[in-house]
Amino acid sequence: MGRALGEFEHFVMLALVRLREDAYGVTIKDEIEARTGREIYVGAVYTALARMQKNGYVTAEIGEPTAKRGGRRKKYYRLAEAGREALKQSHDALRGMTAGIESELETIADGRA
Amino acid sequence: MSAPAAPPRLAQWIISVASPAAEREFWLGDIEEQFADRAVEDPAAARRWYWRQAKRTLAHRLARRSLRDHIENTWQDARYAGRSLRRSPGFVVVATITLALGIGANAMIYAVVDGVLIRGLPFEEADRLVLLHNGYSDGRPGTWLVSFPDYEDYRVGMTSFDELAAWQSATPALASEDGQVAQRLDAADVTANLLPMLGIEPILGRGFLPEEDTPDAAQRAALLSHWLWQNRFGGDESVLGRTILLDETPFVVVGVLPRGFTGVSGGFILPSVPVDVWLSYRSSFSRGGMEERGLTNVNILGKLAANATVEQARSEATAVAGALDERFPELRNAITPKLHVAEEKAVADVRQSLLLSFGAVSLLLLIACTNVANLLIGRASGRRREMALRTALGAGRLRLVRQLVVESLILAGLGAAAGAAIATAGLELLVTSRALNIAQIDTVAIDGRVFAFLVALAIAAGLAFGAGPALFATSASPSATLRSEGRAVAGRRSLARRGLVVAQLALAVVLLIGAGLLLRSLEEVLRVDPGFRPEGVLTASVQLPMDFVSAEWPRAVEFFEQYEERIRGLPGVTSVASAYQLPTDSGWNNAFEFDLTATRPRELAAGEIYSARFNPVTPGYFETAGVRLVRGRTFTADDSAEGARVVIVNERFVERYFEPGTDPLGARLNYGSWWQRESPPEYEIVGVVADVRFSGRALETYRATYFPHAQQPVRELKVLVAVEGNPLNLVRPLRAALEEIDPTLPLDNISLLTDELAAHEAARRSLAVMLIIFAVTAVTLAAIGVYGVMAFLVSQRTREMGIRVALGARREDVRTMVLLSGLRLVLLGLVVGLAGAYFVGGVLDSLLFGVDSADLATFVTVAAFLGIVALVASWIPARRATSVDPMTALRAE
Repeated sequence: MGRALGEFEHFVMLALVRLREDAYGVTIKDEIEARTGREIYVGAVYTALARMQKNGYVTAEIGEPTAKRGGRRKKYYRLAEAGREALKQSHDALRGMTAGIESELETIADGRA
Repeated sequence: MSAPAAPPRLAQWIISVASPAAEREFWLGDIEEQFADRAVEDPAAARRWYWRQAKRTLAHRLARRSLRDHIENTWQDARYAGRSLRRSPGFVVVATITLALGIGANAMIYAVVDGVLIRGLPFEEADRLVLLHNGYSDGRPGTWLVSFPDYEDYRVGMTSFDELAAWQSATPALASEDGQVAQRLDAADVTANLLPMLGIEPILGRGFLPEEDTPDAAQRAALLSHWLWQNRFGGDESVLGRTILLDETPFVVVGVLPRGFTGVSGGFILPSVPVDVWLSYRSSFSRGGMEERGLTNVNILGKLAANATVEQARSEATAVAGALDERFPELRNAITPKLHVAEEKAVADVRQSLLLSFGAVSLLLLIACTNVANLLIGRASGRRREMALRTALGAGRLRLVRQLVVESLILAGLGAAAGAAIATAGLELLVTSRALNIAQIDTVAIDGRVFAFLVALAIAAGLAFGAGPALFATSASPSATLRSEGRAVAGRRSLARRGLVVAQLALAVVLLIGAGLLLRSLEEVLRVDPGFRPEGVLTASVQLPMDFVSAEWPRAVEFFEQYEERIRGLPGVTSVASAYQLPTDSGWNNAFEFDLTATRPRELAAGEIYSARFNPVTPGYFETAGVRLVRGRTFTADDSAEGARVVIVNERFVERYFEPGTDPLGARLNYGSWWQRESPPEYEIVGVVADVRFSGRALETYRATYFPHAQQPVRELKVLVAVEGNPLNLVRPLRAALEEIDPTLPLDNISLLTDELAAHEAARRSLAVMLIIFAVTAVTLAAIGVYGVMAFLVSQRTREMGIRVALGARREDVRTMVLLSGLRLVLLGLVVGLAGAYFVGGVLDSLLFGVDSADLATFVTVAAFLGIVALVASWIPARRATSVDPMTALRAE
């Protein structure tokens, strides 16, 4: 079994699930920034994606160049089968850990806010 | 859709360089897309944001790239470079040899510079060692030794020295234990404080005790050199306490000095020959003259006190000398002490030839680097497609440049390895040939420091010749290169190569002119008449034991008469004579003072005294050595101890001390050796002989006087034997003849007078030869460079030439056209080089003899020679290009 996903990798994968066909550097970064409220650096996204591609979690596909990008092409990412499996395991693990204490966690979050 | 603002270019470049090659396009695209969105709202803020991204990319990149990645990448580069170099072995060999010559020559000369100029003398606190000599107070040049009583006065009267030591060299014969022929040793009589002052401690036994350094010491003490201990006493420790006989005088061995310490550290400081045995001054051979204030035979070496300066020491010494002037006015005429820092004095004479050699090898390395840069540019143009392809496949430019630079560094490494071999061999040659006249040269070696220099040099050279071509090879955009074969950049490339060729030729011209001037100068020197005829004359020296001195002079005279008589009877000998000084002994520094009684002597300047060099000779000396008699007569057997006292002087003597047109014959000269000082005898001038250039042909000679040995005996004479046939056949009989008279007396310094004469010019000759070797190497490299560039330019124009020929141009015209384009480069290189040589030629002035540093003949010859070489180098490709069939040439592309 592969190692557990890191937090950032976990985020990137969830973003891939959300974005479906439109997952490339900018959209992934925007998605994570919008949902976590953190500022993300696009290079970090690419580094994570490159690592996951090496592990066989994601696949990439080169798109068409656009004028807005100065004539450069996009690189679209998609979850691979192994990635889905890893994501599921990671998600299950998290869910197992949080089972039964959801309301308590809500309180902690509120208390901190 | 029009973009409201473009991203900042520099920031864009930073991101481009810092992003991983494989992701670069998407990375840049993403950032630019976001920039475009932001720029719609606030272009200035967008630009600031873009810059922030650049910074983050860079930081990200630096953080991500671990050391391991670096090593891995470099290793990859090295392997790739290795593969790529293996594919062109010819290029590698040429580049390696070229670099090895440049780097090796530099390391070799650096080893000497480091050992001699930078590191200084190998003694404790060597920078505080100071020499003290006698000199003239009226500004006349020249220094000579000090008398022992004066030394004692300096030692007692000065506080700026921690120690003031004295030494004198001697050459006693060490008696063999079985009564066989003795062994002549090089000895140094030293005061007890000398060796401790230099930081030299015995490895066995002890140093001299103060009580051993007195005239009435219970025993005479001796310290052996490591060499003598090993070779004569088999390294036996029981040698301590043993009594040895030196010139039949007993000495007790008290210690052995460390290996490698022979005293040789510049003849100015200690004897210029390795010392075999060290003797305690005041109880040794020097004891005899210790009371003689007129006998100036003591070398003084002192160590400054920690807080004292040379200036202080100088004024103190001058004060002591002032007191001496008052006490001994008859001995001291315009004499003043001269102090020199030992280290400066030791290298004063060689600094220039050393720096000159360093300059020469630097030029050589520059030429070598230029050549390799040229080769690399040539190679780069062949590899632009490879580079473009790799760029298209995602390799970053930085990565490609780095890989090419790694390739250059590998070449430099190969060059350094081969260069180290060249440096080692060259240094060996340099040491044995004595091309640089440096006593310490024996201690020079390729050590860690020199090796570090060599490595640093190789890296610098690798970067110097590699960076330009690497940037060039990776410059153009991949698509342009792949489509067009990169013709667009050919112009820039060939301009760079032409520039390199011009530089190379110019450097070669400078080097060749330097070498040419030294060669012309050597030629001029060898043209000078030395004043004697050295051919076919064998020489050897015989030194009688100390007990012949003074009281036993008649026996000494008789001894040499007897020996000469025996030699005369040997087969092949045409004449024989002996002399205290050979016509080649630059050691004629024994100026003596006298009085002159003549009818019309030249008036002496205020403070001037009569002085000349001193040489007792036996009858037949002038005939045997081939010294021309100008007036009067030479010595005969009648000029004996009982005969009328006579002297022969040289032409320079007459010029200086007689009014022109005066007959010097019959004039009288009063002179007494130190033991005759009470009543100096009077000698009549009976002959005038030609001047002999005893310090070498290039140096002015001096006033000389020749006395009959019978009337001015000495205990050491050199026999001169003129021989028909091979003089070396006579060595054995000469030894045997001496053995018949005294079986224990050794015959030393057997040599040919021709060799002795050549030795004076050895340094000059070797320096010229060394520079010629450098220059010829430089010319060869430059010729290869010219050839390479011309071949390249011609290959670029093969098609054009094919068209010209097809359209009816004659091959000769095409060839001329190519040659002319080559000629332009050659001429430019020559002009720049000649101008350069003209301006830097001055550094050679003091090394030149009879030749001006702007010698027209040398300049013209060098220009013509190099011009022809360069033209031949460009003619070969020109010929080859035009011999190609036009159709083939046209089809070729």
